[in-house]
Amino acid sequence: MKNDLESLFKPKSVAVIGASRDPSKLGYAVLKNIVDSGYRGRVYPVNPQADNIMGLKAYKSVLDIPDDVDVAVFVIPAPIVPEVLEECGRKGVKYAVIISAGFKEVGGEGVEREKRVVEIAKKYGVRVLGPNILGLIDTHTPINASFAYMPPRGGIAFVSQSGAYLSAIIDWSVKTGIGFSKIVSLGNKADLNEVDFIEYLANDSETKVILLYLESIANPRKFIEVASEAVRKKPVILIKGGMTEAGARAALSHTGSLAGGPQIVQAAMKKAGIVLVSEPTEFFDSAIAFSLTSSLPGDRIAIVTNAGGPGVMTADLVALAGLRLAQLTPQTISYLRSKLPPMAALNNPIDVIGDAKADRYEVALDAVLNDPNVDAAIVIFTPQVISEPEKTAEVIIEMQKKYPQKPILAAFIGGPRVEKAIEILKSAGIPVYESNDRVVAALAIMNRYRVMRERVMKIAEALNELSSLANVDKRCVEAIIDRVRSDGRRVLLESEAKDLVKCYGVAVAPTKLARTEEEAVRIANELGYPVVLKIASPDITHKTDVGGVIMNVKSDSEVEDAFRTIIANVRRYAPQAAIHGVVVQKMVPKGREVIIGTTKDPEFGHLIMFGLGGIYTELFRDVSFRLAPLSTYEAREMIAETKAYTLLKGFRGEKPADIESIVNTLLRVSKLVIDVPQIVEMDINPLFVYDEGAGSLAIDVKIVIE
Amino acid sequence: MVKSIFLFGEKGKTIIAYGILKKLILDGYKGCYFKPIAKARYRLPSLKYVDPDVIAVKDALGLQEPIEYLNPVTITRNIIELRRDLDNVKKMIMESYSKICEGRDVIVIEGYPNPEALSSIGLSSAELAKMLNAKAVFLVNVKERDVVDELADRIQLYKCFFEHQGYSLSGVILNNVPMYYIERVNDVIVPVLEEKGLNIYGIIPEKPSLTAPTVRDIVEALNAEVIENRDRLTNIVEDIVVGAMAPSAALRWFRRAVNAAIVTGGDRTDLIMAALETKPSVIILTGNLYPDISVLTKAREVGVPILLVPYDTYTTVEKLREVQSITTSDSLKAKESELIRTISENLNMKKLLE
Repeated sequence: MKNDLESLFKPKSVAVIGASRDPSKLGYAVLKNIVDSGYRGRVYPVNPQADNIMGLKAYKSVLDIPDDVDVAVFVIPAPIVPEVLEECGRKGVKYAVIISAGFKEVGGEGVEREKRVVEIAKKYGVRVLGPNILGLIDTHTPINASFAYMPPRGGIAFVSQSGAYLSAIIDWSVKTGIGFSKIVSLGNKADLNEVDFIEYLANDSETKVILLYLESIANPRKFIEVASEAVRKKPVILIKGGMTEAGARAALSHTGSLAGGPQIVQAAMKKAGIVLVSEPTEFFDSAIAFSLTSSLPGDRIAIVTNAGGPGVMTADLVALAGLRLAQLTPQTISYLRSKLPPMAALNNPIDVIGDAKADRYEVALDAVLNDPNVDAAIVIFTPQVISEPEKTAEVIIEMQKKYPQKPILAAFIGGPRVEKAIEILKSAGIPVYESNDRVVAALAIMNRYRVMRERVMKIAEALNELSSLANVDKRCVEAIIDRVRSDGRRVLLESEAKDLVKCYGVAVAPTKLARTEEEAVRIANELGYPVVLKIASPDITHKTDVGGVIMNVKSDSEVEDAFRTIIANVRRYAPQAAIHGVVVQKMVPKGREVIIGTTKDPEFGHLIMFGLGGIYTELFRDVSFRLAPLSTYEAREMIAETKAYTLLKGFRGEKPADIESIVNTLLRVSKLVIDVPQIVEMDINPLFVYDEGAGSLAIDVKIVIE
Repeated sequence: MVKSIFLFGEKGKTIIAYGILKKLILDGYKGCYFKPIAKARYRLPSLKYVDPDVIAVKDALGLQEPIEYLNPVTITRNIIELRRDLDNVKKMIMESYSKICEGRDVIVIEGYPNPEALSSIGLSSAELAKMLNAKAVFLVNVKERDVVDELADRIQLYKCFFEHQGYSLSGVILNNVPMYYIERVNDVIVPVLEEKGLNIYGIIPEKPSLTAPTVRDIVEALNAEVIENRDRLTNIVEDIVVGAMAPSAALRWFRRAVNAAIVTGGDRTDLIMAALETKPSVIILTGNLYPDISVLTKAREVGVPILLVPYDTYTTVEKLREVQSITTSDSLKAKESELIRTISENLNMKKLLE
């Protein structure tokens, strides 16, 4: 059965199960919506108690319909959904859009009921949307199979995990003139989820931008995969609910989802190239821009304004948003000087001043858009006595036609005097905003998308050229893990952890576990003095705090003494800790300390962290995060992202550190956790990094398995 | 001729006695347990005036004899008053003892909690061992000493005590030896003991899982309500972790604990979900706060038992600590295989039965 969602959005026939003649019932509203939306396919109301609803022949069961049914919309009570789904399955229905609530989201038997629905659907090959949704809307088909109002048509596809929010947005869109291509309410995501829709919408010519509201991500890895594919073609913008603790708690009661922490979500979105926004206005302001204009070719912005103040403010905002004020060429400037009054400001922002009519705007816009140093333009209009708002609007429309590759965004600031102009711009598909901060915010997000997209392409390239790392032995790792497990532990001893990373080619300071004083002496002699003795206990994370580390041990008698002291200290300061012995490690020369860590997020998989050691990580939190698997591009990027990178590069006469070695270690760590996902936590802290060319050594490694 | 071993001394007697008996039974001996004088404890609410350890062993071994034969004398508050009735007490002990000896090859006798118990009234461990004609074996709990050599002093003391009473201390079992003492115990202490003519019947290394309670033990002791996964109560609990931090930090903590009981408020859905990710032995929700539906759904998925208690977190943890020192038939049975393995590897049964 072909599951490309084509028949879901453009069905030839729709059955409404639970259609009703009673205007107070949902079954009535949904049927009416389908009919009123202008749907041109065949509609079959299904209701055992009616022959005719809204002038359409009604059937007692879907099995009685003398036709194929592409989509069946369920508006019946939850308890009878499974058996009706069974009928649909036998009928050969392709998609079940289950609006009914009363499934997993209510717990108890709802969970069982949803399981049954999934089983039945699988049995017959029916794809399920929902349950517990608002419905589905496609403005191009057109079809409104939901109990929300039909929104205006446009290029935005909105996929949302909250049904109620959708309704509100649709209402708001009518006011603001945003147009949607498709609206999908995901509900409990029993079958179809965001991954399926992103994949479809990426290739949908009617959709220019994909908006997502999600509280949980069904299959995070696949999500990142399909999203990064989609991002190459069009922007994907996400508001994720549950980013803060409070939000997470609220989200949990919504559809039974577990929210991941903010860093991980950011890292995942970055990897996927998804633009993550936190405010709904950003969400929609940028969606308007994306759906109407072409993509931003660069970040150099020209501002054309008839009021100096707003112009300057906008310039500030542009800079703060990470965009650049375009440097106009001397030719453009001299051209502008020749055409505009002497008081006009020419150095971007171009102030055509308060007495400007539409013609000055035309001149200015034409000139800046023609300038090779300009990627996009912001037009600011304030209604002055002589201004011609509508004519100016027409000018903008014309200019956009003349320069289709460079987006023009407008801010028409005012009240009744600019209303008509705004309407004109809207109908012509020019993004227009009520204030300069919103237009800049929209442009900023367009730029973020541009940067994300470039990055996604670079990462894909880098992953392709990543040659397989030498010296990786998965079986060596698994053997160590098996031994730890058979010992009934989850936390590896330092010696075990170091052996484990060695299996993947990470250089470690030589370390061995000693269970007795005698053994410690033997190992010390084997490794060579001086040595460090450290307590080996899975229960102790901060060894120095409990007196569990003694450095610079230089002789056999010192080893015995240190061994005894450490045991005594630990027994005193951490009496509950299980002691497995003492590790003896060869002392190595000191290098620059960095920390490389990984932690496994239940949703997104392994998050890799990098930072400079000591106070840089602990106090300044100067760390960077990326989601595994890491490409060389990302590894280099995450190191360069930290403020302490300057120190690593070589600062004030200090030689540069062996950054390649850090990159290498990051890649090996990434490969390790991808190959052996049972490693849920790993910390190499510190990793001593020596001068360029001299490599690095892991001094302490902590690993926790699941 | 029935062989009997009188095991007295420090913490761990019941488990070791059970382990020895179980091993003997598996090897084909007809063995039984006997505790002549026991201390009655009220810990478990359903029991009165009986030592719960005796019940535990009786149930775990499936012994048919009534409790009064296995444990003829119980002490609740007073010891000295028994002096008046001494002959009667001794008679009761001998009678019960002969009853359980019928048809048996080996009896493992467990002494009163403290080794010097009842010496003031003439019923010391030495007296009892002599009376029952049993081999006296002193069980030492090595871990609880800061200066490990002190155990040799103590053993010396008891050796002299026994000799004074006209009986001999056959030997010792050194139990619960932490890994950092093994070297010293083997190389330094054992030779000293052997010099004195004592038999070393076994050196048993520390094994925390053997003293851990099961979830069912906890349910009974805390009077908890089981709200999910009723069939997983045999999980053993080796660690107690309190969940009170932010969920992101919590995950790191919970992951490190093996076979843990995670204690947190029922309203901390975020923490409970993080805890469930790490599959602990049990999650205990405090304050009688019934959790969110999503929690129960997930708990069912991963198979972790969820308990609900009315107390606050502090009280719950205190009670949990107490459970850790009670033996029940449930926990004995859950640890059987490991216990038998430990005993086979570290105890010289042959020497013990000579």
